[in-house]
Amino acid sequence: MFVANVFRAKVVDISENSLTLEVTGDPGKIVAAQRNLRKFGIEEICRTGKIALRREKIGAAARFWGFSAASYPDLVEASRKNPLTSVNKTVNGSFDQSSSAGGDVYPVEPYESLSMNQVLDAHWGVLDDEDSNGLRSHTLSILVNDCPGVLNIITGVFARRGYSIQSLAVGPAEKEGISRITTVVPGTDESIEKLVQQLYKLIDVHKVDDLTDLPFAERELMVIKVSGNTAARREILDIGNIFRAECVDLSDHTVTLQLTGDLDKMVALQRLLEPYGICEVARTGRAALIRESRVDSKYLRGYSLPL
Amino acid sequence: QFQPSLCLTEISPLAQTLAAAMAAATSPAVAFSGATAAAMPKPARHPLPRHQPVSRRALPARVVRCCAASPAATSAAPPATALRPWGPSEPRKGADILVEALERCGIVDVFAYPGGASMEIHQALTRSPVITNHLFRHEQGEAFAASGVPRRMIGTDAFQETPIVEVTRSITKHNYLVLDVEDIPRVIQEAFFLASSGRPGPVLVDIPKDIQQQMAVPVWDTPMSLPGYIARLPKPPSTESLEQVLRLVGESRRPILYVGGGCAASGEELRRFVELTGIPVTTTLMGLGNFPSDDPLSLRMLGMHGTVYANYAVDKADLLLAFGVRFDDRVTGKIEAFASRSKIVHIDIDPAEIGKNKQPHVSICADVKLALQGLNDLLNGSKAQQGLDFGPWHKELDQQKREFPLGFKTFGEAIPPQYAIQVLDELTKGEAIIATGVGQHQMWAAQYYTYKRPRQWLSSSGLGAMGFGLPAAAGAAVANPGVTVVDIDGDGSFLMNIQELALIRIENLPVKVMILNNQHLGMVVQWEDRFYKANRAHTYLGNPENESEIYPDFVTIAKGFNVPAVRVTKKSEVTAAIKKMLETPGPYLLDIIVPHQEHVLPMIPSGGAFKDMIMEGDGRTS
Repeated sequence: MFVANVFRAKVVDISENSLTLEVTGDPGKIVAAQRNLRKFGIEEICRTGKIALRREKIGAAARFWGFSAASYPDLVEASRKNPLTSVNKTVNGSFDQSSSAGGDVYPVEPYESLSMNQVLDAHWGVLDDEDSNGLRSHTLSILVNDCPGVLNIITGVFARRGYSIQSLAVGPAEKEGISRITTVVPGTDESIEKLVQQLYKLIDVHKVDDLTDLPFAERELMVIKVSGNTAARREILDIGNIFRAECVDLSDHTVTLQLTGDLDKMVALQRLLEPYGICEVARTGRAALIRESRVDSKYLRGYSLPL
Repeated sequence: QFQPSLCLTEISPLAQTLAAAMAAATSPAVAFSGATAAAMPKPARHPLPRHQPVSRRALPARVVRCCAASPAATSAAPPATALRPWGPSEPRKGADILVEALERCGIVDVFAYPGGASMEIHQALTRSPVITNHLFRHEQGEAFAASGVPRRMIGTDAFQETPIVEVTRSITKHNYLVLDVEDIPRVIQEAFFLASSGRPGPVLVDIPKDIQQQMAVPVWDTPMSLPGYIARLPKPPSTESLEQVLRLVGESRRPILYVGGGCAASGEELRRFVELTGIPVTTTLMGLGNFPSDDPLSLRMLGMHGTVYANYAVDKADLLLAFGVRFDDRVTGKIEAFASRSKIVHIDIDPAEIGKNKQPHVSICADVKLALQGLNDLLNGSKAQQGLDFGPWHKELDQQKREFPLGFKTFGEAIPPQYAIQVLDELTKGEAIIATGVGQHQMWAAQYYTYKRPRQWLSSSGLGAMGFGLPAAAGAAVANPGVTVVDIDGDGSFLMNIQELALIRIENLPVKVMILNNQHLGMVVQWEDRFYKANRAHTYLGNPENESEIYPDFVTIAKGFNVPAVRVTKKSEVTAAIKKMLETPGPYLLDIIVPHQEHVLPMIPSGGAFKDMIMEGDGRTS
């Protein structure tokens, strides 16, 4: 626990014989944490890759300087509409061209249908409960040999057999020379079963686990750059505090927050920050390990966020 | 038992050289990029009555293990010789290490095509006292370029660089890109092991040019490193599951064996099983020969162009024993209607195949050879066997055989293609190895020739690669000296790899090419007749300006290759012509002119069920 505190790691699951920790940081910190925890005996590791956002320059030369004047409460003449209502419109799917000059919240193309997911929507379409076809998002954890091209081979199997990948996280696992690929794939129980069989045909695959029906701890890391001048900054940081997000970069017109958590937490934070104008988001895929405690926190929490 | 065969190719190793390799062994091919070679271990010196080559060493049943396991490769490396002037611990080039590694795996015959990037390997081959090279005449596919670029230039889009490993990833069981000359012994060992174990499949090894040239001292006993794969290899079947299968057999009234390519190494065990149980057998296109077609219990082939009685039997059966098959769409047609009345027992070595297309009631993921041995042992010991009597079922099927035999019509002196194959069958007594291209001639060869042993039938089934026939026949002739090999080809398929006439002439292989020449792309014409109102869409292969003359003139072309050739156009001349073909030693080409209005029958249209079977009609009736 002392070691965990030093690295500001959080305990995610606890059982008789094991502890599951979540550590976020730059790759150097991760390596250091791993080395220090090794003496206790590491059972399983699930790592995502590295994500990065450029630190914002100060001043008018910066990339997102004129980005969302609507969020600047003192720049009233730039948009006559209440910034929140204009944002609600885009959230609901209709794009109002007339408010584009400076009122354009997202750097995305306008889209037609309501049913289409927003590009920057935190919720990337994961299906927790089965829909009418029995389709569900399955979380697969695959252990593979760490050699060049292995990710290509794995995703090749998905592509050839017609499965889509909703999210992907790859990183070294607990053994030397082995990587863990964690991916979320929509499918019925039967089709995922067949996919697992196809994956087992690959020489470089060691193990494939479908975590969906087991209690598992899942985390994602998100780094999100929100535009906000000094006036809006206080509120943004407050929201961040509530979510235990950390501020990792600051400029005169943006705030960059880092948040770790499960999907619902990501979605919630992103929704709350939308009014301020989201400049950039970088997210890893879902990293998941089975809960040794067998406690399913999903059920304990209640229902997930309504869409 | 089968031996793996080795393809070394500078360009794509696929199709043609793999065809030869696969034909020679009908087994997984290990393909190398850098030079073209298809290799297989040499059979015993004396000509074998059966065409299965026998390994010189006591290797485990089917799996080839090189180096460490083989006694011929002694732990002390051979001393320096005139050809190979280096001692055991002196360095030699990567290409030489490769060739020595192949020798240690028992490779004696190689089909290699040289090129700039593979010259090292070819030079090394000339220094091998054991390996003989057979030179094909074609690098299949101009689009493919040599992949022997130096390692440090990989990824730089250098001249003739092709990411062959990426290109072939989806069609090989596994592939290797050798980046370190020290890896060669281990990679070769692993490649052969992978190619021949579990579900066999082609393995490609890509060796960049500078690795071929790099000097190193090989360490021959580097162990293989395939932990996940070896752990996942299927275990021998459990007695309980085998007993369950036998219980189902005992309870059934109308069982049927549906046998496919997976039983290629289990001919003996399958025959014994049928002897003990009396269950009728039908084979897929891949499985022809795994059970003798002239046996009274054989229903010959099933599927789209299978016999009426085979498809009838599967439709009416109450127990389907699926051994070494994958429920392919050419066999099943409409999957829901296939074997709808029966319990399904599926035995296959690939767990991904079980339940992929059709859900079995009982499944065993194991080597079908071991499963059949187990079943036979259980049957031998028990009294259950005596209770098995399928007399009424046999009678029913015999009646179907009488009512709906395979047949064809004769029109004057025109040669029915089916007749030509029948005559060949009679004159060779069903003992020749048959290779085919793809199309109508392939289907007729499957229907009208009697296949009595595994690996007698060589054809590109699921892949359907035209041009397969001649190279496959050549490969088979190399691997089975003394056995007659006949390539039953179509004029379209034959034209695709016609240059291999040079190979069979120069090596003097006893390959007889029998072309069923109808001047058209026969199978497509049949579908045009049936489903597209006989609208000819680029299916005429002759000369439209002079349709009465046979074009191209294969007889003249063959003479240009110095291969004796004859054309026959009348039915009365067929027997004598085929006899002459079989009696002439060495290569021979027989051009048999047949009408293009013939259709392959019976036929179940794709996606159809047994009730949709078409039994009548041809291109003459509009």
